[in-house]
Amino acid sequence: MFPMRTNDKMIFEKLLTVFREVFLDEDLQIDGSTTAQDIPGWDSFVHVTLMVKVEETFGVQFDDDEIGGLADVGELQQLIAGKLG
Amino acid sequence: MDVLLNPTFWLLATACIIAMRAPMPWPQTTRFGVLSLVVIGVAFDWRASLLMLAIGLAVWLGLHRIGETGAASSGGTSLCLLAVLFAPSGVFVLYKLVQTNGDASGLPYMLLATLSFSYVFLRIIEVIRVVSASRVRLLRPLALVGYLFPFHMLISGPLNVYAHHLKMDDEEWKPLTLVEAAKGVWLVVTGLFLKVVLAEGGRTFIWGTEAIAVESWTDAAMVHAYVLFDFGGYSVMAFGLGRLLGVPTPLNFRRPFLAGSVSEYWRRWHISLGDWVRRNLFTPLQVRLVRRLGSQHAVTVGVLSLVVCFAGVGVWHRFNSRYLVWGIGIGALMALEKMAASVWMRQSWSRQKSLQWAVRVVGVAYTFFVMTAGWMYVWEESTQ
Amino acid sequence: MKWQKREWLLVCGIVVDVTLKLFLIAALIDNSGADFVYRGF
Repeated sequence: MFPMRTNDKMIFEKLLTVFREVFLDEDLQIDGSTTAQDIPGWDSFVHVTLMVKVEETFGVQFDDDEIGGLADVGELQQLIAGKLG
Repeated sequence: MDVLLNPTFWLLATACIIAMRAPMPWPQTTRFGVLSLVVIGVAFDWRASLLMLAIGLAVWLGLHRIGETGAASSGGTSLCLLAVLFAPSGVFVLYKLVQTNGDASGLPYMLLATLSFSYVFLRIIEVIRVVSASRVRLLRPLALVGYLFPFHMLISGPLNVYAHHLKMDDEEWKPLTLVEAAKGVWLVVTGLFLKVVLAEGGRTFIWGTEAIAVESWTDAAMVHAYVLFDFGGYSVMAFGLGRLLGVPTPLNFRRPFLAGSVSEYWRRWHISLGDWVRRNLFTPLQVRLVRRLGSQHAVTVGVLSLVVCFAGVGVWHRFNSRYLVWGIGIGALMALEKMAASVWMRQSWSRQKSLQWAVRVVGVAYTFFVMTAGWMYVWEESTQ
Repeated sequence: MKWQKREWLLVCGIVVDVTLKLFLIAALIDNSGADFVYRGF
């Protein structure tokens, strides 16, 4: 795994907290390659809740295609980093 | 004569594959639009071809105007957006009303039916949503005609994705290899086999040349299998033709009778419709409601969105109360399943393999029973 | 491009499968009396 910059690390840690909160699992572990297949219960129904929580946490807003078009956690992390500038 | 037995269609399709795979300066999307106009005009009806050109141009003009005036906030742009949205919706409503109650022999209806307008309408909604809300570019007029009326997906879908269609122009030209061609031909012939041998052979074996009658649960189960091979056959043919043409064409069926829940069934049956609903209705609706009401209401909002979306899917099939009830029922069942699954996943014993296997088996039987019963409820009326 | 054994097998398998399916399709079209229109409700 590549070393993360401070900003990436901050984003990742906040993301991990959101994931644990949404999936009600305090021991949940994620990394850049985690996809919906890897987390039980991550379907389109929960995905929207997750994305809105992410929006609230980071103070950003995604458009519909960004919400629907993410491949993995790494892409989400990059998207947030891009929005935060 | 049905288009599948029409040699002109297959000759034209072969010519289109050659034209699409030839190195030419024209963008792929525009080339495909022109080819679709020609195939529909020659193999189906030249008036249908003119109608698709007119509809494509009207949608393009409306959306182009929005693009010219910038963000969709100015008065003129909003009016334009309303016009481009309401005109196709009006045509769709009239089309469905005639399909359900009226005289289906009039020329406008016949032409719209030739073009499978129900699917075209969904593509129009997608292109309006994507172009007006995102930074996605609008295709040129003839290319847009190709997205809205792809000749190989016209009979019964599947529903192609606008963003994927656009990407055709960005891809580097590659010749069709013999292995790719063989795989494409295999898909087309397999689709034809599913349609002719399994669907029609099965139908004539069971019902003879009489019309299909759904009078018992066994009839409904057999019709369920018939529609899978019929609709699935067309979809596999379209998928194969899409690969030969180099036009993005989604997979529409993936062993739906192995689905362990109604939610999974909709990820395996008419997949491209389920994906369309997710992209264009469910996600936008749920996102806006959750943002407005707060994530503490996410479950209620999710249930409501599911019911509303599937009620829409029901009415999209036919304008009658049975399809509406069917859609609401499917949405409600999916919401119930979702809640049951979240309770199940929180139990430690739910991780036992044997238990998971047993639930899977029961789930497959339950899904087939529930979906067959649901289809029977709506087909009873359409086959009478 | 030199073809590997796998590619030869794949294409030969497809040719056999396609021939058989076309044979069955032709037999059914001649004998069933079905009209082959789409009935997807």
